[in-house]
Amino acid sequence: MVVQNLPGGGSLVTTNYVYSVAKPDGLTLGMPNQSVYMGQVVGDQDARFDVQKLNWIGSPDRNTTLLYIRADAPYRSMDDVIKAKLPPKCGGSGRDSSSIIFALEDLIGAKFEVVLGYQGGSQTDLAVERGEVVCRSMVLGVHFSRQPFTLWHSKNFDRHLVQMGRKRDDRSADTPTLYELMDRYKTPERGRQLATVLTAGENFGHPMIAPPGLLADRVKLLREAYANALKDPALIADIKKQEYDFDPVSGEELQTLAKIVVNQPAPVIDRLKKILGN
Amino acid sequence: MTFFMALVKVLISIIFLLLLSRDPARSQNNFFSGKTVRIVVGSSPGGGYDYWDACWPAICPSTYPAILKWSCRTCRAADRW
Repeated sequence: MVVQNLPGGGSLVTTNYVYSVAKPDGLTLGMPNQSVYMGQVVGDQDARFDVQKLNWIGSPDRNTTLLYIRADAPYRSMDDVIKAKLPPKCGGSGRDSSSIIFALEDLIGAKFEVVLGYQGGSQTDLAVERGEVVCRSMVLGVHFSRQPFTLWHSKNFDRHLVQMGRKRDDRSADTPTLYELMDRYKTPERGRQLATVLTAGENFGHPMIAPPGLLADRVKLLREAYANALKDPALIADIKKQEYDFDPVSGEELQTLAKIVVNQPAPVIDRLKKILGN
Repeated sequence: MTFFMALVKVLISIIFLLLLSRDPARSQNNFFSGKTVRIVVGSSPGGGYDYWDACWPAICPSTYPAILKWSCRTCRAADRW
């Protein structure tokens, strides 16, 4: 087994390669990022693939995101943000990674000012510590298992405004989910569809794909082998030790999800394009 | 009679072999025998995918028993397709 890193375009390079260059024999598999479908949804010319035709093998986890905010900022909850005259200033590296923050105004009427251009998550967190910005969205599992966040929590440096999963994560049981907030603020169906697409990436986790046109029997074998691999006791013990999220997603579920996310009504796609700046 | 029994045995063997070769799981598993599987990762080394892409070569010998070749390398980031 050979592992080859092929970065570029938020996994578009890898996905294009697996989709149209790799031989569909099962000997080349891909690991794109969790939001690779977004390029196809918004009609990015560089996304030369159809995620529905890819063969999804499985994923070891789901990556729920969380929006944190400095505890000394005058916003104790999303209600405060909605009522605020001055929106909180969040940081981020690009529109894609901050898309959910931009969408919150559409979904529940919570407006944020977003400062983009930070090199990455760590730089944004430093900016939060310096007080340049007060909030950021990030992977929940990382927020509860890595520094500086564990130190932050011991000092009550931050609080959590919303988590994007369908159900509350045990590590953040007092933080409402986006879906609870949409119920409270009576978000219309179109907004819910938008939320479904924007948060779908979380269910893709760290997915593995195979080229289109692969024999069904071979797809089945790869999916079974992948699922069996994730039952390895040594692997599970190591995941616990490393404090990684672990919530396997089957290839069949990913295949269904891929179909759902790309088949959206035109108004939802238009809104997504606007949020993502396309 | 002996010749007839021998013929039946040969026929049964042929049918058995044909059925065996048509067993999808077995034939697909045989396909992977001795082959090298390449995993193309959409992010740079050092990113969040390191754990998962590194773990496959480590755990797959027990779950992809037919795949015999194991190695790991990093491709140039400048490679474009």
